[in-house]
Amino acid sequence: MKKIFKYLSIGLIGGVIFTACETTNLDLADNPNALTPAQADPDFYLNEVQVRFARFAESMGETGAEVTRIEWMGSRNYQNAYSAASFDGEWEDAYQEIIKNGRDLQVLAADAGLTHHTAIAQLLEAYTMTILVDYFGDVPYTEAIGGADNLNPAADSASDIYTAAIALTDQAISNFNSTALADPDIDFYYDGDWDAWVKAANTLKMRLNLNLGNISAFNSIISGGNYISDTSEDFQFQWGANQVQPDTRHPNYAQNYSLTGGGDYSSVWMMNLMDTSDDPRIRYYYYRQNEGTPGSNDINGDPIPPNEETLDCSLQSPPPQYAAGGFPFCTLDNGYWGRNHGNDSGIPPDGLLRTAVGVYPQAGQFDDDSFSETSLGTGGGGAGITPLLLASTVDFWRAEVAMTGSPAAGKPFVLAGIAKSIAKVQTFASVDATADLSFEPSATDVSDFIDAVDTAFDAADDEGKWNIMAEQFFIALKGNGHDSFNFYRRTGYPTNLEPNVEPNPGAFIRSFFYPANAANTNSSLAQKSGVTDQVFWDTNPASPSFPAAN
Amino acid sequence: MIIDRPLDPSTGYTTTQTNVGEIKSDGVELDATLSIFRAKKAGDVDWSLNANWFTNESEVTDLGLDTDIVVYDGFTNLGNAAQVGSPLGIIVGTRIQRDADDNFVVNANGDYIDEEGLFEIGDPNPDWVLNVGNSFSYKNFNFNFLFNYTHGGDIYSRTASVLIGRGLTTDVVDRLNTFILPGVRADGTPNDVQINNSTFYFNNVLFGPDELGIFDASTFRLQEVSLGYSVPTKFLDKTPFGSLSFTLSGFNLWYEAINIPKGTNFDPNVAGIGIGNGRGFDYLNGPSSRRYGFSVKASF
Repeated sequence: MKKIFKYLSIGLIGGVIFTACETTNLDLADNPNALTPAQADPDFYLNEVQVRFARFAESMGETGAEVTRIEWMGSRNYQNAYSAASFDGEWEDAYQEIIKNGRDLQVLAADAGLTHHTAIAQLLEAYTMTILVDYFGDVPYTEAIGGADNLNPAADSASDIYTAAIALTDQAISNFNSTALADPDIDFYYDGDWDAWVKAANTLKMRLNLNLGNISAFNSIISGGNYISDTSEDFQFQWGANQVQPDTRHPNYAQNYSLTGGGDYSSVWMMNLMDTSDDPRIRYYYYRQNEGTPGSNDINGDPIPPNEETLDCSLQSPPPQYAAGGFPFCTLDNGYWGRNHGNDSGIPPDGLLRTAVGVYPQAGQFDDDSFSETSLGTGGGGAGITPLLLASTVDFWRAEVAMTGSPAAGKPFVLAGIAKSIAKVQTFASVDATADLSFEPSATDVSDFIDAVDTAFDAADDEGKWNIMAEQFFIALKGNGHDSFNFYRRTGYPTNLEPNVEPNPGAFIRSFFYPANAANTNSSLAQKSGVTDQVFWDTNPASPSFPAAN
Repeated sequence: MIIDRPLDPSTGYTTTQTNVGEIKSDGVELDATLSIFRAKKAGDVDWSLNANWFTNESEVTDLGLDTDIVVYDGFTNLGNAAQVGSPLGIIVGTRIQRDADDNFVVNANGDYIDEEGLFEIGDPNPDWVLNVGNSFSYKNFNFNFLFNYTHGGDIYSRTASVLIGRGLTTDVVDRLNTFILPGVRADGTPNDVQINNSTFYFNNVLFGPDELGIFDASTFRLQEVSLGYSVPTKFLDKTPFGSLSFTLSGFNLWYEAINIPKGTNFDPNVAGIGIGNGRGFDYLNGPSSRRYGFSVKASF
């Protein structure tokens, strides 16, 4: 017995000594259970960057559209309309998913001579940074993506970021023009048309130069001719119709086409503008689930009584600023059912009554007077687009440049932009296979509409011309409000935009709060005190005296 | 304490595991027993009361990091934080905006304005806790209870906020009342905007600054009561049992959270963000339960 103990203890002690002698590397920086960046596939990296960029741009564009009344904003107070935390996801997408992954990709691509991979990553990084600048002002850039070396990256001046973004776009262009050893497997934007990518890059530079007020640089790109001038060259992301694993549908479609109906409201201002001007795009933009809205006339001209349950404001009188300005309040004729800017009422059971998003750009249903309920998968199933840089947008930019000299000079560009926008939107009718396309507007309807804008533009005074231009620009931007938010801060038009339902909503948002996950964790980035800080290119008077419509 | 420190995603990463540097903790614990009757022999009356009181105050003195605050549980914008100079685990979130003189600021509608950022809005650690236990036995019966009082400690309770914010409890039944929130307007003049009951509770308490969702979690609680009977051994001689006892018990039979709106009947004894280091949050969690038990103990 004693011997056994002896042997056992010798064995134990020996075991302890031998184990202790073994050296173990505790400084593991890479997870041994996962792929390291160096082992990753550049094509998969690029897919992730492309898709995340689309979601990021879509989400930020939606916010821009909400504040400029293209879509509905549900807060009576600008300061509290968008909390810091509401941008956490976008911030993470921008830095971690788009830029960090894009840079990891560039390391792999450089080794393998994949210059077109690099070019896409560079262009999307430049595009992402300029979106962040346009919405937040000064943000981290040169110190960003430092990992453990810098856990508190300081913000760069926004104008330096613009300069860097233009330089990066130029690098992207030269990479697009180079010969790559292999092309990306999947190019969601242009399917490997590198000339089109160069046009998109130049068009992005036009937007940046316009914001910077650098009109000569803007015009030199125009005279170079290598920008998006035809709708076939539009920079846009194509979504799919797959519902799960993965959900490839347009995010706005997924939100609105469910078994319980709409998840969002349409803007009363926008629907009224289009309905009263016989805009041929209205049946593509909006799908009505009913023939009449409480408090207004239905499609046959018969009045529908107000309804407290489904539309409580149909029993209320308009607030003074609506009454004074003659803005339609709460309810519209012909079954258009949405909400005014800032209406923050609770959500009644109206998901299957309110106007839903249409076939453009979300690939919902085409409005063929069927007045049925939307549901999961109806219409185009969500295989829509997120517009990023459109040929029509370029025309409106050129109109803006021309009108800065003389408002009348913008007309040909405005009309060209409208024509391109309508033609593009009309191609979407076929996306909804079940629709009765006899309700599509005819060529005469389209030309009548353009003629009406033409006449109104000529008849209007200078401010009126700007307002018509701005209204038409905003309509053409349906689906992405980034440019409308920029335009509104650059020019202040339209001055007759629908006000907030709150008489004193505070000053209009000139830039948003830093996301909570940045300001709260980064000791070099102090949260703003409000939403009236102007981004560097916004040299207009401070809020609330500008913009006029607040 | 090893925690996940959230990072600004602009670093390229979202969290890193780190060790919170230095925490100083001071506490006192007192224990006293009062024997009212002491049994001279088995079967006599035996009755004693036991009280236990403790308090504990921690302070984060140094994080050892390049930041003064780390939110280590909950959400990055509303969670438990380690902040230098404050107790470990303070609740941080948005607060009512203050002006230069520390007055609350209201907007044009008379509602409080949110001030974005991480402000210390509560401390979930109780100031002190008192437990009183009773044990009484006579012949083969015994009777015990445990009474608990927790003083202080905050909770961010969505159950309470939602019920009062949406007007679903008797606490807000007086709908004719109007409110003028104490504070000033943005221009510094005193607030004179009247708001109604629904606006106050819905816009401010429920969907206003996080600070207004904080409640004091002080609670009286009858934690446990039990009544037991052990069968005398002389009855067990002819059975295979060595001993046999029956106990009737109840847990969490009664509580009174003194500073939480009465109509909500909310029990702050919940862990709203799951198992972990988080404390003081309730996101409409399942309510605490009252349990009854009957147990039979036998030995052979």
